[in-house]
Amino acid sequence: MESPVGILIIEDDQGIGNFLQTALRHEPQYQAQHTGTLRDAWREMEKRRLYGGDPFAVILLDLGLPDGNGQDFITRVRARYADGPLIIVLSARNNEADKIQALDAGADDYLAKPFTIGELLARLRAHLRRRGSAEPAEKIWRVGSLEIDDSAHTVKKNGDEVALTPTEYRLLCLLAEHRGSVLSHRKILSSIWGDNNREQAHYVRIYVKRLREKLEDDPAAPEYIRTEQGTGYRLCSGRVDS
Amino acid sequence: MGIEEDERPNPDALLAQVQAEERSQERGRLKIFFGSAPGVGKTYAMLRYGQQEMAKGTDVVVGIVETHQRSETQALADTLPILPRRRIPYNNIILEDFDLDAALERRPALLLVDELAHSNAPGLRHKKRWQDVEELLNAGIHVATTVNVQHLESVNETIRQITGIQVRETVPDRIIAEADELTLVDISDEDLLQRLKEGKVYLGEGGQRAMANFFRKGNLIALRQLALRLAADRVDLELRNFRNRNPEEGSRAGGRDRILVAVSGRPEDEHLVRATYHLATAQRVEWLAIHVDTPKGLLHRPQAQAWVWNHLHLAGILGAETARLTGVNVADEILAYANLRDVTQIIVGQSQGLRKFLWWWPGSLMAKLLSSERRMDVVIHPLPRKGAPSEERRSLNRQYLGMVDSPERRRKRNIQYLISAATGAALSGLAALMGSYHLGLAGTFVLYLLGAVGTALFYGRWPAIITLSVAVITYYSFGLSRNLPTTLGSLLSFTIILSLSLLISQLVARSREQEIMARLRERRARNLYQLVQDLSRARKIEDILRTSIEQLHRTLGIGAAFWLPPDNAAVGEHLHLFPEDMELPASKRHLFAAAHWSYLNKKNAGMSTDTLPDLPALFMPMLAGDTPLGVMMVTDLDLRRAPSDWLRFLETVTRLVGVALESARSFTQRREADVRLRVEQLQNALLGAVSHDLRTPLAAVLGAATTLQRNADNLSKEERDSLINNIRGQTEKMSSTVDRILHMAALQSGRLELKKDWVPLDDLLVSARDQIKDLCNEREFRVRIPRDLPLLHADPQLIEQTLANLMENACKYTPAGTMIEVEARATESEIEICVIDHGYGVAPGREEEIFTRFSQVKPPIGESGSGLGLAICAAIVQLHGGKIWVRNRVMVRGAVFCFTLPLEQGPPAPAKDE
Repeated sequence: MESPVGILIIEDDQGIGNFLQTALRHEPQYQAQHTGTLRDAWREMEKRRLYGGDPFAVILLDLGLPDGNGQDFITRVRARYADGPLIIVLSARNNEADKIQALDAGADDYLAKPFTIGELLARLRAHLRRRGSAEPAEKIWRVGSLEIDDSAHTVKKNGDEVALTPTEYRLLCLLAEHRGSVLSHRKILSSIWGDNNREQAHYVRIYVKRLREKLEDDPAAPEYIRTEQGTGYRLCSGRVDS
Repeated sequence: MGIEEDERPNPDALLAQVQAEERSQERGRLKIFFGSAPGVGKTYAMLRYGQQEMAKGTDVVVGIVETHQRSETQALADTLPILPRRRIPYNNIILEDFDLDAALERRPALLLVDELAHSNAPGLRHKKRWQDVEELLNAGIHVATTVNVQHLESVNETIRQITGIQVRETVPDRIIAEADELTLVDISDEDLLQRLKEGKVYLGEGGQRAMANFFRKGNLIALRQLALRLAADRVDLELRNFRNRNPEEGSRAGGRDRILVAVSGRPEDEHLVRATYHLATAQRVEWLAIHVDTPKGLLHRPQAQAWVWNHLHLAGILGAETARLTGVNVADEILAYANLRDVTQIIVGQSQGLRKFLWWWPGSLMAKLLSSERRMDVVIHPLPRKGAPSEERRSLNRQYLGMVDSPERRRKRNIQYLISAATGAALSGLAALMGSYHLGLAGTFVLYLLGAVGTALFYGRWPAIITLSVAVITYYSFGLSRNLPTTLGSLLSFTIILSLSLLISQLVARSREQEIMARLRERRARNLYQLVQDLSRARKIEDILRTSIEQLHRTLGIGAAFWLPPDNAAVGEHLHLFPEDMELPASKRHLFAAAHWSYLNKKNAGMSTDTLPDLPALFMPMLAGDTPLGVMMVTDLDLRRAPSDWLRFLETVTRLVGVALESARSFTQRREADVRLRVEQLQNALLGAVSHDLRTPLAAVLGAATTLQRNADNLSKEERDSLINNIRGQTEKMSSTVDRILHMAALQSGRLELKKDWVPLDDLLVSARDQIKDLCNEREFRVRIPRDLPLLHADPQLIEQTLANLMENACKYTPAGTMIEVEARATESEIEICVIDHGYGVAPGREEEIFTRFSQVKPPIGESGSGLGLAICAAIVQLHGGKIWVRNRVMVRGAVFCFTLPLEQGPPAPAKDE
C-alpha cells in the first residue's frame, strides 16, 4: 500500500468529530485530521500546499460551522486547488436547500446525519476507486453490466447494444462521468438543457425514467440510476454500496 | 297636529337627541356668528370671542380672517396667533387660502375660521370652506365662524327675488341647524348704511356698483328680517329640544306628517325643492324628494337625468330623504311610494306647455293624483317660467355628469326617422301597386295600420307618426294621378285610421317601454343576485375584490378598484391599492388622498361629491357597522349606461362587498385561531411523545453504555455485541422518531410551503423504496403503473414520504413474506395511488380514526411506535388538495390504502430529440 490518503474533517461538533477520527484511525489507508472551524481548515490546507506536504485527498465538511458558510468554503477550495480534494458534505437531515447549494458549489457527495460509519467508508471507497482509476483515452465507462463507449457513441448492456436518443445518451454520459457522486437537478439541467432551463427539474425526471426503462432490469427497483430525492441522481455500479 | 295631544316624547326625536349628544362628545363644537349683511361686524365679534377664550386659557388660533385692512379688526386679529395661509399655484399666480391640513396638525382647542360660505381655491381638498369646517369638527376641534344670511342654501331663491342678485356661495342649512351655538350679530340698517358711507364696509374688488345695489335700504330691511326670523326659528328649535329633554315642562310639536315632493328632469324643479323645504321646515315635518324614472326619460333624455340628480342632491343637502323609483306610470309610482311612507302631502310642479291646460284629463298626472283613494293633500306648485339656473351652471352640471347628448345617438335617431319616412312612402307605393288588384280603401287602411304599428314596435311613437303622415301625404299625391279613391269619405276614413293608428302605436310603444323597463330592472336584479352568489362563494379577500371588479365592469361598464388598509391594522395610516397594476386615471397621490379621506370620514368622495370633486373617480367607503374596511374606487364612470339609480346600485355593491369582506376577515381570524389551537394541541402531543418515545430508548442506550464502561473487561464478546447492537437499534429508532415529530410539526403548523414540481410517480416510488429497504428487504413488491400516467404536480419529497410511510406500514403490519402491491391510475380529475397489502385489514369502524390519531391529545405514538406515520400521510395529502382513505379488500384479506392528487395541466415538455 502506498502513502495513506489524507482526510480533513471539518466539524464543530466534538462528538461527531471524535467518532470520525476514532473510526478512521482504525483504517490504515486513511490519515485523518480534525478541525472545528473553516479558518483552521484553510490554514491546514495552505500549510500543506506551501510546505510541500501531501495535500488532503478528502474533505469531510459539516455545513453549519461557527465561522462561516460551508458553500462559500467549497467555492474557495475549488477556486484555489485545480485538481482539488474530494469534498463530502455532512449535512443535517431535512435541509435539502443546503445540500443542493453545496453540490452546485462543487461538492462531490453528501451524507445526511445521522449516518453509520459503514456508509461513510463505502462512499469513500467508491469515490477513491473512481479517482484512482485513470480515465482511459478511448473513454469507455463500465458500470456493472453497462458499458458506455464514448468514442463509438454506443451503450451496451450485457453485451447487447441499447438504443438511446441523443439526450438520453448525453444524460447517461454525464452520470457516468461522475459515477458515484450525486449530480443535482440543476447541474444536470444546465449541462444538458442549458442554463435557461435550470428550473425545469421534471425534464431530468422524465429522462431518468426513460433511461431506467431502457437500462434497468426492474425499473421500479433500479440498480444503476439512484434517486436522491430532493437533490438529484447518482449512477451506481450495482447494489454494493452502503 | 295636536300640540298637546300626546305627552310622551317622540322616540325618534329622543333618539336623534341622544345621537346628537353622542356626536357632540367627540365632535368639536361649532359656534356661528350670524349676520344679515356684510359689514355688521361678525368678524370683529368672532375675534373678540376668541380673545375672551384665550384670556380663559384656551388654546385659540386664527385659521383665516379677512380683515380687509379694517384697522380695528386687524388690531384685534394681531393679538391672536394666526395660522400661516396655504399658497396654491394656479395659472401662474399664487392663491392664498386656509390651510386645513396645518390646522388639523396644529389641533388648537378653538379655531377661528372666517367666511363659512367661501369657495376654496381650486386644487384644495374641498370645494367649500364649510366642508373644511366639518372636517375640523369631526376631528374634535372647536370652530367659531361667520356667515351671512344670504349664503344659506334655502333662502337663496328668496334673496334673488329680494335683491335681484344670484348668490353663488351657499352653505347647506344643515350646517347652521347643527351648529351648537348661533350668535346673531345685528346692527340697525341706519347704522350699517352709516358704516358703509364711512367706508368701513369692504365690498370686494370692483364689486362696488353691484354691491351698492345690494345695500339699498329696502334690501337691508328684508335681509335683516330674514336673519332675525331664522335666528328666532333657531331659538324655537332649542326650546323644543329643551322640552324634548324635559317632557313634563311642556308639550312636543310635530306629528307624523310627511311631505313628498316629486321632481322631474326640468331645471325649474329646483324651486320646487326649495319651496318644499320651507314648507317642511315651517311645519316641522319630515320630507321626501323622489323622482320616477320612466323608460322614455331613461332612453331619450339624458340631460334630464343630470337635472334629476341635481335636484335630489339639493334635496338631500336640505335634509330630505331622497329616492329614485322606476316605473312606467309616474302617478302610480308616486302614489305607491307615498302610501308606503305614510305621506300626508304631495307636492308636484305645475305642468308646462299644453299639458298645463289638460290637468283634468283622466290620464294626466294631476288627475290621477287627485283621484287617489288615499286622503292626501296634493299641492300643485306653480313654477317660474324663467327661473332656471344659469347656463353656466347648467353646462357645468352636464360636464360634471358627463351627460351630453352624444352625436352618435342623435345620428341614430335621425336614421330612424328617415327609415320611418321611407317606410311610409313604401307603404303608399305598395298600396298603389295593389290598387290595381282592387285592394280597396279598407285594405289600404289595414296596410297602413300594419306599417304604423310595425314602426311603433321597433322605433317608438314619433317614428310611427312620421310613417303614417308620409303614407297619407304620398297616398294623396299618388292617388290623384292613380285610380285610388280620394273622396271626402276617404279623407274622413283616413282621419279615423290616423287616430286609430296613433292609439295603437301608443299602446305598442308603451308596452315596448314597459318591456325595456322590466328588462332593465331584471338585469340589475340579476346582476346583484349574481354578485351576491359570487361573493358568497369567495372565501379569500382577493377573490371577493376581483369578483366585484369583474361584476361592476360587466354590469355598468365601469372600472373599479379598492383601497384597503394593510392586514391587522386597526385604523390604517396607509391604504394600498388593489389591483396594484391598474391604470390610474390620476396621480396616485391624489387618489390616495381622496381614498384616505373617504376611509377616515366614512363618506363618499371624489367625482360628483363635495370632496375633491375634480378627481375622475368616485370613492365609496365600505363599512362593517361603523368600522371602515376599505374604500371602493370607481373610475370610467359613464352614467348613460347605467342612468337609473346608479349611485344606489353602487352603494348596494359596496355594502355587499363590505359584508363579504367582513365575513372573509372573520373567517381568516377563525382559521388562524384554529391553527393556533392545533399548534397547541400539537405541542401537548409532542411533549407526550418526547417524554415517552424518546426516554425509553434513551434509557436503553444509557444502560447499555454504562454496562459496557463498567464491565469492559468482564463481558464476553457476545454480550458486548448484543449491548452494542442494542445501542445502535435504539438510536436508530430514536432518530426516526425525531424525524417524524419534526416532520409532523412542520406539516401541522401550517407554515410548511409546498415546493411543487412535476415528477413521475415511478421516480418517487424508487426513492421511497430506498427509504424502507432495511425494513422491507424480504418483501416482494408488485408495481402496476400505467406507462402513460401523467406527471404528478406535487412536492416530491412529501409524496415520497407518503409512499414510504404507507409501504412501511404495510411491511410492519402484515405477516412476513406476504406481497405488497402498488397501483396507480388516472381519472379525469385526479391520480389515484393505492398500496395494497395481504395482511389482516383494518378493524371495521376505525377507517377514519387511524388517520386522525395525532389530533387527539393522548400521546400520538403508542407502544407500537406508530400513529404518526398515517397522520403525516393525511396531512401531506390534504395539503396537496387530495383525499386519503383505507378500505379492506373484498373477498380476500388485506387492506388498501389509497390517496389521490388532483390532476393538473401538464408542464412544458422537454424538446423532443428522437
